Amino acid sequence: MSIFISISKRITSVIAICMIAPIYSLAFTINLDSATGNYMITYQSEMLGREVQAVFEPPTKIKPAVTPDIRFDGKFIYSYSLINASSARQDLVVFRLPIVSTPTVVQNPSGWTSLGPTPVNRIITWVSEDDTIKPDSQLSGFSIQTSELPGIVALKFEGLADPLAYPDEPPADVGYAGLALKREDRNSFVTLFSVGPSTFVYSDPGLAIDRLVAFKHESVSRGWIFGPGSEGIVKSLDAKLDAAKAAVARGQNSAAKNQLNSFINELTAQRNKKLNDTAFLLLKTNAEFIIGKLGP
Amino acid sequence: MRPTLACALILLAVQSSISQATEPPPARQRQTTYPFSASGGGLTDLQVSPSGSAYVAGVTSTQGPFISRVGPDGSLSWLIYESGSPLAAGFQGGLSVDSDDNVYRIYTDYTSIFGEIVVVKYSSAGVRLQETRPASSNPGSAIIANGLTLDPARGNLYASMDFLDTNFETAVLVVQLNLNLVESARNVYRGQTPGIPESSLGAHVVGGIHISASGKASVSVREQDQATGYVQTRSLFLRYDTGLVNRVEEFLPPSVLLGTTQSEPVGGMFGVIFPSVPTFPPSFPVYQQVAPTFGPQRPAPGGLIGVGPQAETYWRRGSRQIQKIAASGNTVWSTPIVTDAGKDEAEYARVSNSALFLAGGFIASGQRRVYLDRYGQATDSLSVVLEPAGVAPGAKTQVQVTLKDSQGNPVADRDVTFAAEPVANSGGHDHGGSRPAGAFSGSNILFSSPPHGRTGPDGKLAAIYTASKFGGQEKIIVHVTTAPSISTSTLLEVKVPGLVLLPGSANYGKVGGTSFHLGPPDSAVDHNHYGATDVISILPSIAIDYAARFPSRSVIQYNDISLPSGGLFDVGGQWLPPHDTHRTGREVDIRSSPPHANAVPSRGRDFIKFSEIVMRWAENARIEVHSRGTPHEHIHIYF
Repeated sequence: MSIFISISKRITSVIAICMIAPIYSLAFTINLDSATGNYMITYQSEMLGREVQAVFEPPTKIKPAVTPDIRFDGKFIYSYSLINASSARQDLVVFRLPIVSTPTVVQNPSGWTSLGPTPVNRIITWVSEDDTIKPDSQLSGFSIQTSELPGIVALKFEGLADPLAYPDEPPADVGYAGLALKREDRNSFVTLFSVGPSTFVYSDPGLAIDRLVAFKHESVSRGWIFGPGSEGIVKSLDAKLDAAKAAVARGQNSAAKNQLNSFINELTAQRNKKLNDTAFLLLKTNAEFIIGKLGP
Repeated sequence: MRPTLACALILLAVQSSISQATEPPPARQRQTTYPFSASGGGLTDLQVSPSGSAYVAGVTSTQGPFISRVGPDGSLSWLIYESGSPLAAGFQGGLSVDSDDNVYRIYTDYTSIFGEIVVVKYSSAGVRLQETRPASSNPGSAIIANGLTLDPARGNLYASMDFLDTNFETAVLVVQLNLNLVESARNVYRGQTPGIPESSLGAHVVGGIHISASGKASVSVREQDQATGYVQTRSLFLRYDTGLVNRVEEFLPPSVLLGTTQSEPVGGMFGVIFPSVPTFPPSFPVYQQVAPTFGPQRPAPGGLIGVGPQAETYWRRGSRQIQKIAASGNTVWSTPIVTDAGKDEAEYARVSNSALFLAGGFIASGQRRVYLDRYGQATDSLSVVLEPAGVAPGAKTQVQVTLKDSQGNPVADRDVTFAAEPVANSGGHDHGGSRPAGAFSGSNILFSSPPHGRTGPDGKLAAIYTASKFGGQEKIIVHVTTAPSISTSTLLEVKVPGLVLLPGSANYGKVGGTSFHLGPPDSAVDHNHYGATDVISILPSIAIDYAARFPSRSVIQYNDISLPSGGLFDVGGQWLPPHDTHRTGREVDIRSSPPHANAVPSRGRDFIKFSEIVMRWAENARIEVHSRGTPHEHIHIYF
C-alpha cells in the first residue's frame, strides 16, 4: 500500500512538490508494507548520489497480555505475568510500568534487567538482556514493592526490532518525517491498561469510596466486568458502595464496613466469571484499604 | 532614421545624462535669514572655518558693515555691526579664518568722507581682539577695502586695497600683517599705462589677494584713465616676492580685461577674466565674471560663486540654479536652489569639511535680506533598527530604516539600498567559502539587485529580512543609493536561543571537531557541542546511566550536537547539508559500534537497552542510526 502520510504539513508540502516536479531532489515517499508491517522510506540521497531506502520496523508487532497480581505485606507488592500471543511477529523485549514513588524492591525475571525511575520519568522499565518473550510464550517475575494503592495504569511494551537506519545522513525533511513516524504511539509501543501503583492521599472515607465507585465504572467501560448478566452484578456492586457511603455519612462506620465486605465477597464470587483479575484486584484492594481506615 | 543610428543616439544621450551628474546634489539642511533688512547693501564675503562654521560679511544700507558667525549646525552664533557709515554698500571686504576659528575681516569705515580701511580680528565668540588701519597715514586715505588672505604656514595675513594717493590717484596697496595685525611690510602700485599721464591714471585691485604655497602674494589689477570716464586701459597681474619687497608686473593681452569682481585662487591663478565671448562652463583657468553684490548691482544670470578645496567650482545658472563642476570640467551635479518666497540668487559658495554653504540675498516686502543656507553633502544620517534584533536561522526580522538630515528632519523620497553580509567565522563556522546571506523583501522594496526602495514622508522605509539558514551574525547594511557614503549598518544575531555548551566530563567524551567547526578532541575550542538547555542537562545523566549498564564498554562519545548559534550544520564546510538536522540543539550524534569498537551498540537488544536508557531521561527521545554500514555510522538521537 502506497500512502501519502499526512504526518505534518511539512511532509504534505514536500509530496506536493514531488507531484509537481518529480525530479525535485528532496522528494521522498513513505510506503507501508502491509505484508511486513514495515515502513519503507525512499528518497534521493545527495550524499550517495542515488535513490536509497531506509526501513522502519515498528517495535509494535507483538501481542502482549498481562496478568497482574497484588498482595499486601505492609506494602503493596505488584506482580505481572506477561504473555506474547502466538499471532505476534516479534519477541517482546521491553515492559514499562509507571510508578509514583521509587519502589523499595524491584524483581526481574531471569534474563531481564530493570531500569529504575529518573527525576524526569517515573517508570520502571524491564529490558530483555538474554531472554525474550517469544510469540506464544509467557514470562512471570516482573514485580515491585511500593506503598501506593492500586489504580489504573498504562503499561507499555515493545518488540525486538532493528532501529531505523539510514544509509546516509538523511535530508532534514526525510529525517523529520521518519521521526514523526517513530513518534506515533502506534509505531512506538503497545499500550495495555491494567492495575498498578497510583497517586492517592487518603483523607476521608467518603472520598475513598467515591474513588472506588469511579474504578468500578472504569472497570465496566474497559470491559473488565463483562458478559451476559454483568449489568446485574454492576447494580449490586453499586448498591453496596452507595450504602457504604451513606453509612459513612451517618457516622456508622461499622455498617459501612459491612457493606464493603459484602462488596468484596461479591467480587470474589464473580472473579473470572463476570470480572477479570484486573478488576478484581483493583476493586478488592481499594475496598480492603477503606475497611482498614474505618477502624475496628 | 536607421535603427542602429537611433540606438546609438539613445546610447549617447544616456551616456551624456550619466556624465552630467556623478553624485547627488546636496540637500538643504538649514537656512539662516539675517535679522535685518535695508534698501541697499550686500554681501562681501563668505568663508568657512576648519571647524565647519561659516562667517558672513556684508554691508547694509541702514546699519553699515556687519560680520556674523554661523555655527556648524547652521545656526546663527552672533552678528556684529561695525562702526561706520552705511555708505559702503556695494564695496568689497574679504574675510579669512585661521585654524583657531578666529576670523579676520577687512572693510571700509566711511566715517570720514573718503573712508578708511580697517582690518579687524574677531574670536570665534565674536570678541573684537585687534584692529589696524593700514592706509590711515596716507594723505588721501583709502577708499575701497579688497581682499584679506591668510598664509597659515607662515602666520602672515595679506590685505589688498585701493587707496587715494597723494595726487588723489587711485593706487593698489598690499600690506603684510602678522596674526596680531601688526604690519611688517607693504607695497604700492600706482599704474603705468603708456600714454596715460600719472595724474589721470588709476590702478584698482580686482578680486582678492592670492597667496601661493611658497608664501608669495599676487593680485590682479586693472588700470583706467580717470580723465576719460574710467575707461580701462590694460590689465595685469602683480606677483610679489616674500616680504613684498620685489614685484613682477605681468601684463595681459590688450583684448583681455579684468572685471570688477571677486577673485578665487585656483591653481596659482586668480582674478576673474571675462573673454569677449563668454562660455559656460568655462575652460580653466578663465572664469566668467561674477559681481560681488546684489541689489542695484545684482549679477547677471550665470557666474562663478565659489571654488572648493579640490579646485571644483560652484556656479550660479539662471536665477535659481547652482551647479558643481569638477576641476576636469565635468558637471558633478546641478540642482535648483531651494526657493523660499522672494529668494534671490546665491552669491557665494564655500565648502567646509561636511557642508556646502550658499550665501545670497533676496528681496522681501521691498527690503533686501541676506540668507545663508547650509547644504549637507554627506551629513544626512541613516539609522536602521531591527525588530527583533535577533532571529532564529531562516526567520524574519523587520528592517526599519530612517533617513534624517542634520537637523533631525525626515528626508523623504530618497532611494535606499539594502545589503547583507554574513560575518566571517561567526556562529562557529570556522571556515571560509561563499557564505550565504539572507534575503530582503517587503511591499516597498524593489527586488532588482541590489534591493532598494524609497523613503516615505516620514523618512522611513521598512523591509523584511529573512535570515540565512546558518547561525551567526549577519551585517545589515543600508545606504542612500545615490550617496553610498550615507550609510549605516547593524548586526543581526541569527541564533537559536538558549543553546549552551555541553561541559567536559570524565563520564563521557566529546568528539567530532573539524577544521571547519572546531571542537574536541583536536581543539580546545568547542563549537560543535551546543544544545538546548534541557538536552544538555540530561546528557551527563545518560552517560552515567549508560556507563553503569554497560560497564565493559567505553564511555559515551558525544559527537556533533549543534553549533553555538544553531542553524544549518554544514559538516563539510561547504555551506550545504548533510547534517541537515542538528540545527536547534535537539539532535545529538553518538559514536557507535560498529564502526568504533566498544562504543555504544547500534544493533540488537543492547541498542534497545541503550534506547531505554535514553528514554528514561527523555521519554520523547527517538533514536536511529545514520550512515549505516559506512565508516561514518553513528547513533542519532532526536530529543
